[in-house]
Amino acid sequence: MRKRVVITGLGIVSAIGNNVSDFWKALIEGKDGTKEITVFDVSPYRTKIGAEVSGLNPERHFTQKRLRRLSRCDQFGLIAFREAWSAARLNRDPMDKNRGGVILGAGSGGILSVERYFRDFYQGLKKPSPSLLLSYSLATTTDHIALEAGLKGPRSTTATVCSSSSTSLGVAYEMIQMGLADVMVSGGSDSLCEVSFSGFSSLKLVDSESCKPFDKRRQGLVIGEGAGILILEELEHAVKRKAPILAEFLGYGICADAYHLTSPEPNGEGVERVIRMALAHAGVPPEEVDTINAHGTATPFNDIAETRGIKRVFGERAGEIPISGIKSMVGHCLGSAGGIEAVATVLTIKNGTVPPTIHYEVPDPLCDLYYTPNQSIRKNVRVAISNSFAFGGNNACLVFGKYSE
Amino acid sequence: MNHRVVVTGLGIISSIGIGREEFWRHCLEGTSGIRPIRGFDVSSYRSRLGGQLPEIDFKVFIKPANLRRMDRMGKIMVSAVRLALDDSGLDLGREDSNRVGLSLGTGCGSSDTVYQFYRSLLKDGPMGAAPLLFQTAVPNAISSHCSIEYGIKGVNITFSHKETSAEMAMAYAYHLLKEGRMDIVLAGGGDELSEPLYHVYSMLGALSPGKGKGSEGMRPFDRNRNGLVLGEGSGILVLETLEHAETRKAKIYAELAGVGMTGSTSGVLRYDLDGKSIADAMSLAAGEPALVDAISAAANSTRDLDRAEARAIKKAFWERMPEISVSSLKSMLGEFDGSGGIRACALVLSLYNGTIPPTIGTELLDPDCNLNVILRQSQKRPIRGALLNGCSNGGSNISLLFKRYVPAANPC
Repeated sequence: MRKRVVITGLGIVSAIGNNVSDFWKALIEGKDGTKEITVFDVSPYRTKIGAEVSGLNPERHFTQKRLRRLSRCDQFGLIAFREAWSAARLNRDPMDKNRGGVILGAGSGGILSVERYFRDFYQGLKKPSPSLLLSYSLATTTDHIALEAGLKGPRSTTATVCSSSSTSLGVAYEMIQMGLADVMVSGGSDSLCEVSFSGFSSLKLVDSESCKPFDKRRQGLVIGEGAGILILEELEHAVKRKAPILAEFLGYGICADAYHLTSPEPNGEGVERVIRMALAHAGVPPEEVDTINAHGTATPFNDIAETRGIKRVFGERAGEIPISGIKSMVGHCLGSAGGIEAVATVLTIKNGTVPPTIHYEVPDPLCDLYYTPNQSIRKNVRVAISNSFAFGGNNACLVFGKYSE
Repeated sequence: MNHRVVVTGLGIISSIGIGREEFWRHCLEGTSGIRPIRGFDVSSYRSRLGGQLPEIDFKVFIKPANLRRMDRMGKIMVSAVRLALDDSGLDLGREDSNRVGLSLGTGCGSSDTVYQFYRSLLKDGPMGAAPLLFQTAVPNAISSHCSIEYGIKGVNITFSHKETSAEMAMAYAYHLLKEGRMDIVLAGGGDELSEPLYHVYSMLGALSPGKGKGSEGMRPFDRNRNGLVLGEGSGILVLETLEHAETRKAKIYAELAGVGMTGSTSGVLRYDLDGKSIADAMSLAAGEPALVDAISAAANSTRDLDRAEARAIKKAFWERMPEISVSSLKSMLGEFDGSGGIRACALVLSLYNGTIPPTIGTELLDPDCNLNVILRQSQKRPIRGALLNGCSNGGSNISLLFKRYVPAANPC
């Protein structure tokens, strides 16, 4: 018998809000978090923008001594974790720490620090500090969170980059099914870094103005950063301690296009398969899906493939389902994109409001669905799905539903 | 709905052998894969050894058109998958590709490509950023290459959690198969030894003899060990539901029968100091501890991990401890994050052949590690069940229970 898994806490750091209430307010108002990047020197680049996190004041959250050992990615992860953990009241309620674990998704992890180290090292201008290397591993943020919470259950990190924190949520769900944990911290954290910024630029996948998912003028993504953390809890454990239940995590799918290293399968066949796989795992018929949080990177090919995949699953009804492309506001946060979008999806269900896709002006005949243009809409959402697709055709889809006994 | 999960194929790219037969022969002979580093200059470091792969002609394993798109790490992984598929006798053309999956683990993936990319960026600015390097630099490029090469469309995931990356990949695959959500999952992992990684390990003081006295080398559980030597390679297991394996009359090497996962909280770069977390992972995986006859240890020639694991084995098995044969394959291969795949292949072969490879390099056991460590010579013994331990610094501990495959009793 499968255990039911619910979401009992959310935490977020993003370019449009550094806590859940600011984030949600900005999201439904359609605020764009894009600005000129300051965390590394963008002057040599043609594109200078990113959805950079601002106003976080890490000094308010960590001692100076501790900060020296935390990468920007670690800081985001810890801050979002603390919000989620207290929202779930797990900072107050007693729990068996052997039955709690952490599975996060990672993108570039602490590479921003490692880049600084190797810049100094190669240029030979000054002796680099080895403490910048402490976060060389993608696992570091996961470990920091587990250590802070004292959690002694299962721990790991997924590294499927653009879909990492969606795959991590799927794996965290399985830790509860395997009987290894009652509570799992999941989602992901990622920070801007020069390697991924220049890499996406070199592939000509970035837009130099703004991220315009599904719009005919779209030219690509705007790289973002932040953390989206969710607390997954086995239902009976949550009920017993009278925890706030925000939504139910019904199931997920992970699969491969097996097509190309960077391009999605153009007909949406991989997108179709992952959505069908997720709905089958969740035991939800396609008719019950009321909204879709799209991957929506605003690259020319992704948005067409995703649109086609959605049509293949939902048929004639596809045009009636409001789709949100929130990367238009928070950017593409790579390793934390799936986590941030999962937080948005849970809030969509809880609040009955579907966030908009902003910068949507010129319809593309190849992207002809309802993308919730520029204005959020009110809607009672029973089931919502969140798509994440990564380089190499690594697809993931998460299914969340309104919780009822 | 609970399926039994069996191992039906092994693919190994290692410093002591390419492919199952050569690898296993060298395991039993106790051959060391560790030599002076080739390919980059280590004269400025205090350590100079590594367990590097021999020169490999990857054309033997990979279609030439695809080879061009892969970096070295990709080639290592795709070749190990090829060897595993060949060993299993699977014809993927006859399988439902949606029910065949890939679950891989790597600690640092294409670290060499990442730093090549970054160096040319530092040198030439944005014009130096090479798109071809970037697309293979992402950690999941390895599972993408494999899915494209072999048309594998089911689950596709890459884990990266230090020294438990491959163990996690196998644990996840096991669960999916047990629930019947896939028929076959290629699981395991690997890593490459690159110059930047060597530099990072050296700067963090992990390499032998970066710290401590005595000569350089891998000596797990030895009183005079002084740190680890980095290795590289890849090991892939074909994991399959028993029904599926029986239907196609596959050769069955062993059964994967349990998983335990825990976390310790000793510190971000610390192993589980008191061994409790490792012991819990072993107990969760073993279920019935009386079945365990052998352990493939995570011990990597660092004082902290060797002692923690020894304490853990004592805690978990107590009076049975002297009967349990313990060996660390890392003594031959060196340490690397994705080593769990190769170590699992060796453990499966131990179960199948009833032989345990020795722990080499180790001469005098640390009194705090007074386990039944198989030293110098391989040991023949019947093995009913065996644990593969993975322990990462920072505190993820994973144990997998492999059992000798015994068909279900015929009801007639």
